[in-house]
Parts: sequence; structure tokens; C-alpha cells
Amino acid sequence: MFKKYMIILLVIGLLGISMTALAVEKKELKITAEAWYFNKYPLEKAAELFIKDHPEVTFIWSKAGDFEVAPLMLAWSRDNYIADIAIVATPSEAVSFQAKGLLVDFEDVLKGEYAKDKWLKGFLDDCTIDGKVYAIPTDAEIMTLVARKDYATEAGLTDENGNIIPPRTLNDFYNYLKKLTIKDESGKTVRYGMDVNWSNEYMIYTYFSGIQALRGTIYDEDNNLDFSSKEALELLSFWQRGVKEGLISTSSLVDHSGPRNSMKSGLAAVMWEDHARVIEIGTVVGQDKLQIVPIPDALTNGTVSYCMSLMIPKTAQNEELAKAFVLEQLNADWFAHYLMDNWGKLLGMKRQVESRTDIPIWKTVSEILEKTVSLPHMVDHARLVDIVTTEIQNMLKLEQTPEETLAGIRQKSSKLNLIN
Amino acid sequence: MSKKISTLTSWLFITPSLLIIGTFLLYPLVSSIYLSFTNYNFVYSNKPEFTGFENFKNLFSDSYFIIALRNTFYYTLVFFPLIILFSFLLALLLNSKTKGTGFFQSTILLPIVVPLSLAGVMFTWILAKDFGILNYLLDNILKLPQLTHFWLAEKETALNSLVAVGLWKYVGFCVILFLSGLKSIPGDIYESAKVDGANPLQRLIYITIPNLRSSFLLVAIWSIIQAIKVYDQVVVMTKGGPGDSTLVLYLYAWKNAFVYFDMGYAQTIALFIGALAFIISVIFNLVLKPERK
Repeated sequence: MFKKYMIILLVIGLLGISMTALAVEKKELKITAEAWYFNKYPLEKAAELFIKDHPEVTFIWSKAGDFEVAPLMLAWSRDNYIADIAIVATPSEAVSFQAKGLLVDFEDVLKGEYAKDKWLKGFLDDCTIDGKVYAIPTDAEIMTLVARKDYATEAGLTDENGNIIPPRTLNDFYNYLKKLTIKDESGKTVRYGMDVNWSNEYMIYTYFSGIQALRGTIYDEDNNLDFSSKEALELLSFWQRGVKEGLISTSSLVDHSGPRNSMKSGLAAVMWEDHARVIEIGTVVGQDKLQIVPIPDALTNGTVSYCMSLMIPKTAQNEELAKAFVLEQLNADWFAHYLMDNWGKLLGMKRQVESRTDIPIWKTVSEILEKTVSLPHMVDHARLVDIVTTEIQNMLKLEQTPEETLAGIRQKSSKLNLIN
Repeated sequence: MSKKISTLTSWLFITPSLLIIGTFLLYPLVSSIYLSFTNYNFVYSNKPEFTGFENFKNLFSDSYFIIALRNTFYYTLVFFPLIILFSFLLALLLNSKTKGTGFFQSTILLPIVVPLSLAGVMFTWILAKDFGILNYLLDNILKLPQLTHFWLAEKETALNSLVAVGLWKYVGFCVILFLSGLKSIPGDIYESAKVDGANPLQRLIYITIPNLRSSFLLVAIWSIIQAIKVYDQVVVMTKGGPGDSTLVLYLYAWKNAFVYFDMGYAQTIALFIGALAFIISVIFNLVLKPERK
């Protein structure tokens, strides 16, 4: 009898253990990003959809203030768990993290529908370090012109359909700006032909977008970043002349939001900045009044792009789930189209833009994207940004000539480590 | 025995403070002095590499450091006399027994409680070229369009605009220092002087100013140090631009540390700033030290 009871107890015990083992273990995915990212993008909806396919997952959202590399670097270097996915400003920061071997690569999951050839090259290159993809692009943009069709129509710069005829050369563009600029009786500009984003955050992209468009490459004959070609001189001369003659606003020297504010308030007819602003400005002036116009020759030669990046640190507790969430939801078509429709931002996959080419804005962006490049990763990227910004801003304040500006950049950057 | 206990008790009481000072003051100070003699990139170096005085030699061949030094000196040379002048004059006015001084006192002291970063955002909008209140007042109300400027983007006005913001923020604090000095001057000295026929200007020159020597010393040293370490309004309003017009020492040190990750060189600049502030304080202390009575 006693033996019978013992056997029954043993069987019940074994059954209990196996049920516990078989029970689905709850897993947490922690996502960290600056607070504005959560307000802007439907991360919670993405989480709900992910949970339908992965019911064992719960999400924790960690909203950060201003992300800086140093605190994250310190935490991850000490194997501290901060999050499974970090959404960080630029891939150049991924370079810093990966210099200390702190990131997980995505090579094992970029297959099938997520294979590398399915992504927009410029954006994926930006996230590739030493041949491996260490971040997934998000919030991606290209540098281009955003223009007011109504002002261009008044100035006689549109075709029979009311679309702006893209300027073919910088000389053409200069003449466009003269026609688009309005001055009062005293000669003071009341509407600028153009506002260009020359702020510290944008300068390097603005400069190289012009170089890429004019030359088809951002490198010179010696395979160094171009600060010496005749096209570089032509670009800077065009900018300085435009400022001197009151055709181009310098609002961005102080405020990186200056150009979009100028467009929203009707103070500028054209803006040289990232394409995404077309949506933001459209909510104020009306989307039908805006057009994406390629920088002269950008349709042939492309432009420069940049993006934010989704990274998974080595300290992540659920690496596989994190990768799955990044690809299945944060790169889902619905998520991409939400970003495009509401904020003008792109994700990294070709099909997401190609499916929207029936809309003129995305048709033009898609055409420019084919030849678009990203900036190379450089150890002294931050120093180069400051040097280029300082020298070109000094030129725009009419303190030095374009020749002196390029010479100054070459001289000051000669000791920098500009290779990855 | 009781003396030993008393000594031990004293040590027990000051030990927590010593620990805090040691941890949060001495250790970082010694550490930063050590780092200034090394080449250490936070991202790309595994550990600091001792380089002797290399960083200090590089300081004076670094064109951006020279520009930052020049801009900081300019800021100090403009800020220092103006804050002493304005705060002294305001303190004299507020010290009078005129009706309404209470209200004006509160108004002048209000900027002290406003964070400088917030004030910087506010002044960025006030000084904006196309949307700013200042240009609107000059152009449309006072009909002086020739005086309108792109205040934060023009070389001649950018740094001066930052000085103006600093004055707005700190004049109230200096007024308090002068007011407390003024209120400590015995009234009977003024009565005697009046009886002797001294006019208001003579009373100011021969009684008020000499008796405010300590206040002048305090305001002078404090304002010089504030000027040398100017940072908040620069970061918020101009970020050192346009170009390098408003690049100052503190901002340059911060950039080297947290943007370029060159910790060794950043510490060198920080040490330079500290040494500069210390030397100037010592000089002022020697020159303006109140005489012992």
C-alpha cells in the first residue's frame, strides 16, 4: 500500500515538473530611445502586433532625455543591461560603440525577404562597419530641395502642369533664386529665394549633397573627401554669392530649425535640407503647394543620405526576440508607410518606397535614392564636422573667400584620422 | 583622556565630510590632473598613455583654443566692468527710500531664479532676425530699421548678445551683494559728512565707495569667474557659432571631452581654465583686499 502511494506521489511530482518546464516563460523586451521618438512613432502598436505572434513577450519602454554616447558606452562596457534595443541618433555613434565591441551584428537575420540587396544601399552602408551590419536604419532622409510650387509659378519656373522645372546647373539655380526673391523698396529681402541648412547638425550633409550632385562622388582624385575640386569651389561661391546678394537666408547659422520655419512662414521659396520636411511644411502651407526638386544633377548623380539606427547591445537579454521585433514590426510596411505619410521619414527597405511611387514626392525621392550615398565612417568624424561647419559659416559671414575656406578645411583636417 | 576623546569625537564628526570631499572633489581633481598628461581617447584607447607635457604644448598651437581664449577674454573684458557698473548703480537706486523700490527690487532679482538655459531659449526668440521682438520694436515701433541686426549670427553682435544675456541673469545677484554692503555702512557717517558740507557726489566718492571695498572685491572675483566659465547661454543660443565667433573655453573643453572623446586634451583645457580663474582671483585679492582696521 505504502509503495502504491509513493509511486502515485512520484508520478504526480514528475508531471508537475514537466508542466512547469513546458509552461511558456514570459520574456521582456526593453526598448530605449529619446522621448520624442515614442511620441512620434507608433511603437506601442508595433508591440501589440508583435505580441500576437509572440505571446510570451512583454514590452518595457525606456524614454531617455538627450542621448549621449558616453553614458551608454560606460554602461555597456561594464556589462550593464540598459535595453535590448537602443534607438540612437546616427550610425557614426554605432561606430563608436562597435570600436569597443559592444554591439550585436544582424548578419544572421539579413536573409530571404530581409537580404541585403532588398535594402536601400545608402542607408544600409551607413550601418555597416567592417563589412558587417551592426545597426538597422530608421528615420532615414536624403538631402534635397523642397520648393513652393505657387511661388515658382508666379516666377515663371513651372511647366504646363504646374510642376517646377528642376534647375540643371548652379547658374540656372542662381537665376531661379533671383526670380524667387522679393525685396522691398529699401532693398531689404522680404522673401528669400532659398534657405539652406548650414547648422552644425546638417552642414556636412548639405555640403556633400552638393558635391555628390555636381560630381557624382564625394571624393577627390586622390580618394580623399573632396575639399579641392572646381565643383567644391563652384558650390561655395554659389552659396556666398547668394548670401551676399540677399537671395539666400542665413537663418540656420543660429537655429537648425531656421529653414523649415522660413518655409512655413513663407519667408523662403526653396529649402535645401532633408526631404522629410516636405510633409511637416505641408501640414502648414498645404501639401499641394510643395514639390521635391532635385539639387542640380542629383537625378543623375544622386545625393547624400543619413539615418538613425536601431542597435542591439551585447548586454541585451533577449537578442533573438529583439532582432525579430526590429525586422518584423519596426521594418514592417505598415510602420514604414506611417512614417512616410505622417513625418516623411523612410526606413531602409526598397519595397517600402517603390510601393509609393504613384505619389509625386516619393517618385522623385525614389529616383534620387538610386545613386544616393552615405558619408564614410571616420574616427575623427566629429572634428571634421566642426571644422567644415566653422570654415563655411565664416565664409557665409563674408569673412573669407571660398578659396580660403577650402584651404582652411584642408589645412585643419590634414591631421585628422579620416579613415574608419 | 578626555582630550583624547574630544579629539576622537572631532575626527568622527568631520570624517563623513572628508570622505565626501575626497570622493567627489579630491579624487576627480587628482584624476583630471593625471589625465591632462596623457593621450586618452575614451572610445578608441584602452587606457591612458602618458605623454608628459605634450597636451600643454599643443594648446598654444591649436587655432581653435586660441580663438576660444580670445573670445573668453573679450567676454570677460566686456562683462566684468558692465556688471559692476550696473549692479552698483542699481544697488544705489534701490538703497534709497523711494516709493516702489520693493517692487523694483523683486523685478531685478527675478532673473536669478530663471535657469540660464531657459533664458537662453527665450532670448534666442527675442533676438531672432525675422520673428524677434527686439527687431520688431526697433523697426516698427521706434522706426529705426538701420539698428536691426541678425543679433546671434553676425560676428560683431553675437558675442555681445551673449554678454547681455549674462548681465540680465547675474546683475540681480551682484545687486544683493552691493545692497548688503550699503546697508552695513553706518548712517551717522553720512550725517556727519552732510553737516561738514559734503555733497552727494562727495559722499559717494569718499564714503560709499571706500566702505564697499569688500563688496567690490567679492563682486569682482565672482563676476570674473562667471565670465571665464561662461557656457550655458553659449550652448543654448549659438553653440559656439556662427563659425567660431562665440566659441569659448568651457565649450571647447566640453567638445573635446564629450564630442571628440579626447579626454586627455579636454582635461588640459579644463586645468588651464581653473588655473586662469585662480590666478585672477589672487591678483584681485591682493589689489582690492580691504585694509585691516
